[in-house]
Amino acid sequence: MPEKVIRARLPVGLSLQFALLVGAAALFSGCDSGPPPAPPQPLAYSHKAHIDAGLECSRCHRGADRAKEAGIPEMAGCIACHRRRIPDHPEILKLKAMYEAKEPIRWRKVNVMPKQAMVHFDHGPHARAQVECITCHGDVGQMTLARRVINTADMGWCVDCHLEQEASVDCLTCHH
Amino acid sequence: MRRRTFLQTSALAAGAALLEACGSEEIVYIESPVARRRGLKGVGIWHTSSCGQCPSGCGTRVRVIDGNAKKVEGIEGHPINHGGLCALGQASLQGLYNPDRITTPLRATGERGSGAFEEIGWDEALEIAAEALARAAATDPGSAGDPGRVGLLGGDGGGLLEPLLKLFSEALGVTAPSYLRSPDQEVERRAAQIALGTTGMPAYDLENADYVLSIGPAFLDRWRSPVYGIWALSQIRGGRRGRRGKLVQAESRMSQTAATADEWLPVRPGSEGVLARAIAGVLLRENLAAGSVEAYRRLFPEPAPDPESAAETCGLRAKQIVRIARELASVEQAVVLGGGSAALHGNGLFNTTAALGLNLLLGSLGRAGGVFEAADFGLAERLSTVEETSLSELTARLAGVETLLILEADPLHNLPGALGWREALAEVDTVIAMSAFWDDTTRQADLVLPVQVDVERFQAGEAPHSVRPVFNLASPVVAAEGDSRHPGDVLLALATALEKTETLPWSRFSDMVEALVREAVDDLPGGSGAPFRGFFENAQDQGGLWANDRTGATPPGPAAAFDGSAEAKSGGAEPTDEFVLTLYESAKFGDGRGANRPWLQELPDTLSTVMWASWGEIATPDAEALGVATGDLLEVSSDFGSVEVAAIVSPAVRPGTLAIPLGLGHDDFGRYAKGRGVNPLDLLGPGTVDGTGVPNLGGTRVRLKRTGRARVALFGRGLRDLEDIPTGWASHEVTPAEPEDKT
Amino acid sequence: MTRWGMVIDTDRCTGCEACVVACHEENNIATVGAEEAARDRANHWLRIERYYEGEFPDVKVRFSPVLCQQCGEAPCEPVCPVYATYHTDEGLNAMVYSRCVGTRFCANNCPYTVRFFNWFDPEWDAPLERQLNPDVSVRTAGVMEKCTFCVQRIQDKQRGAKAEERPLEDGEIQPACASACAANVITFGDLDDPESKVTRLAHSRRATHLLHELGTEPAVTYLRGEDWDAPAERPSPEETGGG
Repeated sequence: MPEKVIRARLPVGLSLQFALLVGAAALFSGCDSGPPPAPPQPLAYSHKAHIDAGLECSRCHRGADRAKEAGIPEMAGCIACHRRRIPDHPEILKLKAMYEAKEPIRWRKVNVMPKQAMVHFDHGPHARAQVECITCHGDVGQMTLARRVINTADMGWCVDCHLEQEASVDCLTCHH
Repeated sequence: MRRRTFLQTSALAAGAALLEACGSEEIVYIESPVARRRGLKGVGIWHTSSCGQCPSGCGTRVRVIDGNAKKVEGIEGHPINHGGLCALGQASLQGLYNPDRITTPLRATGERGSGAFEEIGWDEALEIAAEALARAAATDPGSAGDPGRVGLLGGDGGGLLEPLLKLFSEALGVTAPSYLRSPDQEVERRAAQIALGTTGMPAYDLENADYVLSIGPAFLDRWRSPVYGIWALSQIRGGRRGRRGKLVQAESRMSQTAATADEWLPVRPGSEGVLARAIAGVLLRENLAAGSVEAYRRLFPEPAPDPESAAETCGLRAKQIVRIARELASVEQAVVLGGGSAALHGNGLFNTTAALGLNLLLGSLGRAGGVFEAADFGLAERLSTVEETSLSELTARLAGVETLLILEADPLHNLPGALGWREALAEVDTVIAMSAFWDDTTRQADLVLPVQVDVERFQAGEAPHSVRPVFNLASPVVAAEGDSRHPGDVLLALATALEKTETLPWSRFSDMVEALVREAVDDLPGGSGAPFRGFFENAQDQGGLWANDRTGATPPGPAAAFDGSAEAKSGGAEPTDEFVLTLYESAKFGDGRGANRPWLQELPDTLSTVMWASWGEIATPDAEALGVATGDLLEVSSDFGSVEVAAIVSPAVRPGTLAIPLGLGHDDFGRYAKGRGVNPLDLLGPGTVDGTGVPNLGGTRVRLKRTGRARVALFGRGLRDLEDIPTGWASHEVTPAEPEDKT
Repeated sequence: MTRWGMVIDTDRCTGCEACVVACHEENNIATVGAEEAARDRANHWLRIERYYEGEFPDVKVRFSPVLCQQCGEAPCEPVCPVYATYHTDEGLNAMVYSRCVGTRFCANNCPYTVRFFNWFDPEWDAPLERQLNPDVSVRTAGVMEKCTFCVQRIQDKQRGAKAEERPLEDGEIQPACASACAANVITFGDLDDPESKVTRLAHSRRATHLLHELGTEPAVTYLRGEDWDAPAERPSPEETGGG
């Protein structure tokens, strides 16, 4: 009696979809399309110009050493200096006009975590651990237009450092 | 989902996620102007404020991040709410950010009530309003005797807006304003005057009581500040060293208060006064009164009913009545609350007077844990001593009013339709509504002036029912939405437009309050001798000023005998096929002001777990007799109207009664409230509480009929399967089997 | 070591549900609307249960606030195929939204029915979304959620104390529900701290656990209600924490 051979047959369509899934996962983990281009901003603020002038990060990003968000300064903070420094620069004039009109500046946030990661980054503990700003933000002192340099979708990058520094790798620490 | 589809979708999802992950979606930072101390970006600062969701005057803290309000909590140590905040207060932010809020002035372009409005600027709006008021005031001879062609109606909880509205009426030379408050308050005020000799409202030192007998008021649900009541209960139940008190709730319906109580006396509706008198009878007969027998006999000279006949009338047990009376007498600090549901019957004044009168026998007047005159710093009186016009007076002359200005009140929804407000309003030439939401009255307005809500505005007001004076004071916490304005600023702007600024010399409400505080500074705690600026700002940062000592005066006692009907109009004296309708303000909606907030609509009612709908609580034996199960839709009809509600069969309902919550059934009130539930006030006739003119919410009989449909959303998750309470969910259209013929 | 726990004094609970609304407000819990609520899809991490005893007119009601018990032996943890829920070193039952693939096996296993599934992507009619708490993720469709003991508040206070180089004080961390309650029904704290209020109350003679017999080892202790006419059993101020 001839043996019945049962051969498993994957329908072609299904294997193609599977390949897509695997491929997407590979891409996803590496995200090797590179960091995105710097988004345009309503005012041509140049980090390079300000850092060359001697300003420290935390002078304006006042939350960077203790709070969750580093934050950006309020208009009043900018005006305080630029009332007298290069007050007639076209961008400063734009700033002053918006300040007078109480019109909010619609800055585009550059260092963004992916929404579906549902992750919360807290600057405070990192600052206390003496992590330098440039570690994650890159050489901001050379940027005329702020841009993101790291891949915020790459959790492994964060976890590697956490393991190295013996910081918490408990999921709940960042994901809640 | 089929495996193939699952994989397909995940592949696509991965692709989409890929794009997002790499930052094609940015977050935009927007600075918004904030009135107070700002925090770091993304970090919250807690600002103090005063809750405006009800008149109680709870102190609040609001967490603000980048100009957005995120969370409301109570102020620790605040003498009213002691750090807590009720569900309605917690949900206030869904009022602030309500998608259907009115934030620009509007003028009606179509027929009244059609909903056709056009946006106009404030200058034009104020001009229209001023012109309408001036025109009507010119034809108004003013006060005494004459009807008055200008009507002013304020809401409750306005704080110092109340006396400002009075000042406004004086400046215009028109009839004094009326205020739309919970109807039982007026009955309670009169009863307290009669029974205790108070000039204003009584205040209770509940936190120090050893025994609280509440005859009527569901003080943990929504009566005065339920938060104070809840905190006081925590003190009574073990918050004080070595003392544990008892709470007895005498109420016809099982409210949350009755459910929490150590004992529930399910007194027959309308017979609360007889119960109170019977308890007095026991105290007198057994010589148990620690207080003044003489004062009590002055109030009620005739002999009290004996426990057996009273039990018959009240639907209770004689032994129970006797025991309660003896328990009251056995503790040092007992107090009796009166009013609430007991006040809203034809004989409500009697019920409340009899309940309050018990305090005379217990000696609780002016004593720790007892009853006091409500205390305050007298700030409202400094602004205006004009006596308000009663709501029934305004109702009577409404059709003759030419211009009606309504400030944060919704009489069309909150008063029984049978009183004729809708019809009378149609006769009024110009209706101006100062409101933030599309409540039933605002929909009928010709001109809508958008007002700010509590966290957006400068809050100033004295807590109305406290044994210690509490003056809530707070500056705005967030910037106002749209073009909404402080209602006080609007009134002052109208006064300016009408050139009546001699008595109203301020342009802003906050200026008025500052001037008032300056004047009264020596009477305010910490004010005497302090540099004013710092004192005033600290007061705002703290949320207000209050004294820790009880300073409410001791009520003098009754001046004369209670003159009124002592006959109990008890419900269900003879068995009929009619049910006695019990109406009540639910803890979460109140009179309906909370109905436009999705959190509150989806919050399961504590006892029935109903969400997003009205319901009628019916007793188990009645349901069986009618063949009604939980979820069945019933047609409830009276001689005046009919509504449809889902039945909730409950073991805690007095047979022969049906309880429906107030607060739903708006014409509109925004997307979350529109079409939700029913307004059971539609079932009421025009009857009033004897001797007061207040609408009688308790005197209606209704008939029930099964519609054959069933539908209700219950949140019934529980740990046990309980057959006799609603569990699980029910949303189905069914035709229940016809009940067997029971004849 | 820290072990977070809670004590709920049902003797003081009036069923006002301020805690339920506070939880929604703090944790960005979306409402689902009337239709979906009728399909048992309403999301109440914390709920008030009521139990009727007796027959009219001698009816008694007991209220019981029920939330995730953060079980020591949680039935939900071993059944997740993707390790989206596990027990942390501090005694919390962690729920990691970004790992969850929505098998709902955990909810199936939970005897307290405190786990909720997001059937939809939440929507807030503008401008209601301005109230959303940035410290808490907004969960998308397909993800399980439940009470976290307000982990965002725990972390916030822990880091604050660390930044100030001082230990955390007992009672400094207040989950939203505990904070809202005027009656101080809910006490939260470190069960491994013998001096903390939550530890003291957890040893009250009124203490009980829900579904104790299942062996879930809940971190939430319930204090039974008292009867007034049992004077010999009046609680001492130590037990009630004095208020």
